[in-house]
Amino acid sequence: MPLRQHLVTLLHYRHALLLMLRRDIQQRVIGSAFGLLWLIIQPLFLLVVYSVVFGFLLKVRFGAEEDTLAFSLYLMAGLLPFIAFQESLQRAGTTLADNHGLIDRSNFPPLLLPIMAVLTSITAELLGLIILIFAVWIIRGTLSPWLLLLPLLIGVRLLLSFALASFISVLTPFLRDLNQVIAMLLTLLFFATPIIYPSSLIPADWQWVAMLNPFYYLVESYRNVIIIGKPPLPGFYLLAAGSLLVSLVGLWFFNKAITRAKAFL
Amino acid sequence: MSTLITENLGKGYRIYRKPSDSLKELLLRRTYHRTFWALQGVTFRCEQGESIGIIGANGAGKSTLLKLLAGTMQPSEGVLTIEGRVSAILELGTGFHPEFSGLDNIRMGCAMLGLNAAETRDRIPEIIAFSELEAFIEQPVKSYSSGMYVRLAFAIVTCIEPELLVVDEALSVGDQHFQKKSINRMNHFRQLGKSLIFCSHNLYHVKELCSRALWLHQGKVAASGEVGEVVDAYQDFVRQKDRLTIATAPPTTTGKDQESDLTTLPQLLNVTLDRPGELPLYRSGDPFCVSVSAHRGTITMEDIHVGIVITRNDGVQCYGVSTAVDKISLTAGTDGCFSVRYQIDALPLLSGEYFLEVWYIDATSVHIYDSRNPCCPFKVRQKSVEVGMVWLPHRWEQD
Repeated sequence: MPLRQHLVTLLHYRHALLLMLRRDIQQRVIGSAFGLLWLIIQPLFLLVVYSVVFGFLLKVRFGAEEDTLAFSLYLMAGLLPFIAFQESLQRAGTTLADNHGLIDRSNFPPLLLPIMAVLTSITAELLGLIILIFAVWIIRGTLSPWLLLLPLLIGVRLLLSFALASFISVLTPFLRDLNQVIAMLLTLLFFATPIIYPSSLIPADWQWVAMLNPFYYLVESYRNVIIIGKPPLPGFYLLAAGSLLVSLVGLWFFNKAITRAKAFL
Repeated sequence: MSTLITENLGKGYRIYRKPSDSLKELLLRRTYHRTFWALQGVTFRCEQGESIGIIGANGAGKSTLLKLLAGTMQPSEGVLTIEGRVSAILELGTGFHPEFSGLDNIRMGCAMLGLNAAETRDRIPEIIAFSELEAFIEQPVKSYSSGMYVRLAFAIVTCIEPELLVVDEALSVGDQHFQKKSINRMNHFRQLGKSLIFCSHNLYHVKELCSRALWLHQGKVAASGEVGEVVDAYQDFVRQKDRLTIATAPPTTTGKDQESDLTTLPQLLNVTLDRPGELPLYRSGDPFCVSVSAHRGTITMEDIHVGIVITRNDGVQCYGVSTAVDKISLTAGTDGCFSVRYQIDALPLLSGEYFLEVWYIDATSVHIYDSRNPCCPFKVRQKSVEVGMVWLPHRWEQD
C-alpha cells in the first residue's frame, strides 16, 4: 500500500483514534484513587529516589549549579521523555496480543495499535513537563523563548518512539522473548544516556558512545530549551530526519508483516 | 445487480513449525511452510436482496469464507467483488474493546464503520434501544454476558444499513426474544433490497431466512442452490455420519447356500421396494410398498412372521411393525414359498434418507430366522416446510 493510502486510512479512523485516546486517559485517571496525579506518580517517585541518591548523597551536579534542586530539574527534563519512550515501546510489545480480538474480527486497522501505544504515552509526559516548566519558572523567575520549540521536541520524541514501536509491535508475535530483550536494552539505554548524570562525566575517549546514542540528542535538547535556554543540539535535527526515515520504513515493514503476525496472536 | 461475486475463491493457511519461520520466510524469501487449504474454488454470487445460508460441519471453511467476505482476511486466490458497504458479526461480537463501556464501543464501532460523530450520535438511541441494554450501557463490555455481547454487536452492525450483512452463528447465544427480533430485522433488511450472508448450525433458521444455501464440505462447495434442497442433502449426509449403532456392513443374509438349505431352513428370498433404483425417491404423501418373499423351510406357517422397521440413516427407528403384532396369518404355497406386501397409502415421512430392517421371525418375535439389515435405502423429499421426521395427523382448533 502506498504511503498516501495509509494517511487516508488514518484520517478515516481519526474518530476511533481520538475516542480510544480519550478513553485511555479517562480509564487511568478515573479508576485510581489519586486521579491525575497517578499519571505522573512513577516519574515523580523516580525523581525523588534519584535526586536523593545521586543529587544529595553522591553530589552529582549539572553545569555550574551547585544545589540538589537544580539537579532535580535537569534530571526531570531527561527522565520525562525517557519514561514516555520506555512506556511506548513496552506497550507496543503487547498491543497486538492485547487487542487481537479487535483486529481479528473487525476491520480495525492494526496499524492504529502501535500508534495508540505511542500516543498514550504523551499524557503523562505533558503533565510532567508542565510541572517542570512551572518549577523552572518559580525558581529562575524567567523562561527561555526557545521553549517555544518544545512541541517540536515532543513531536520528534513521538516519531522516534513510533519508529521503533512499529517494528517491535509486529515482531513480537514471531519472537516471543523480544519483550524481555527490549526491557533489558531499555535499562541499558537509560544508563548509557546522560539522564542521571551530566554528559561531561563521560570520559573523553567514551564520548563517541554518547554521540552514537540518539537519545543523547533528545535529552540534551529537552534540557537546552527548558532549563538552559539554548537551541536544540545540531544533532537533534539529524535525529528528527532519521526518526522520520525509520518511521517510514517501520510503516512499510509493519504492513508487510502484519498479516503474517496475526496468524500467531 | 449482484452485491457479491466470488470466483474460484480460496484461502490457504500457512503452517509453520515455529512463528519465527514465517519471519525468516519474509526476510529471506525462501519457503518454510506447508499450506493448509481451508477453502478452495468457491464460486457463487449473491444478488441484491438475496440471502444465502452457509452450512457445513465444523472445520468446513465457513468461518474462513465469512472472514474473507467481511474483509478481515485476504483471499489467497480467486476474485472477490463486493458492491457497497459490508458489515459483519463474526463469531462472538464485532471485535469489542473489553475495557470500554457499551456506549464507547458503540461509538468505536460506528467510527470504524465509517460514520462521523454526528451520524453516530443520531444512531446511538436506536442502537441502545434495539440491544435493550439501557441499564448496562455505561458498564465495560467485559462484564457483559455472551448474550448481551451479541445483542450489542448485532444492534451496531445492522444500524448502518450495509449493502451486505454477514452474520456468523451469532443468534445461537441470544435468547428466544432476541432471536426473533434479529430474524425480523434481517427479513426487513432483505425487503429493503439488501443482501444477507447467514451462517448457522441451526438449519431451521437457515431455511427461514435464506432463499439459497451453500454447503461447504472440507473447504469446497458440496452443493449450492435452493435452500430446501441443499439443507436436506446436508442433513442426509450428517445423519449418515452420525449413525452409530447401525452396521455399515453390506446387507447380511444368514443362509449360506440357498440351494441346499432351501427345504430345511426358513429364509428371506427377496425384499424390494415398488420403485427402482439404488436410492429411489419418494415424496411425502406418495404411496409406498415393500414386497417381501420368503421360504418357510420346515417351520409351520403359524410360527412364521415378517417384521419391517423403517429407519432413518442416523439410526433412528421411525416405525416398526410385524405381522405378529398386527395378528396377520401368512399362508404359503405348496412349494413353501410366500410373498407379502407392506403397503403405506400415503407415506408420512419428511425429508431424509431412510432404509429398511426386515426381520424374519417366529411368533414370539424372539427367534430370528433371517434378516436383511440394512436394505432398500430410499430417499424422501417433502414439499412443505414442516420440520421433524414424520407427518403426524393433526388439526388446529379455535374456540
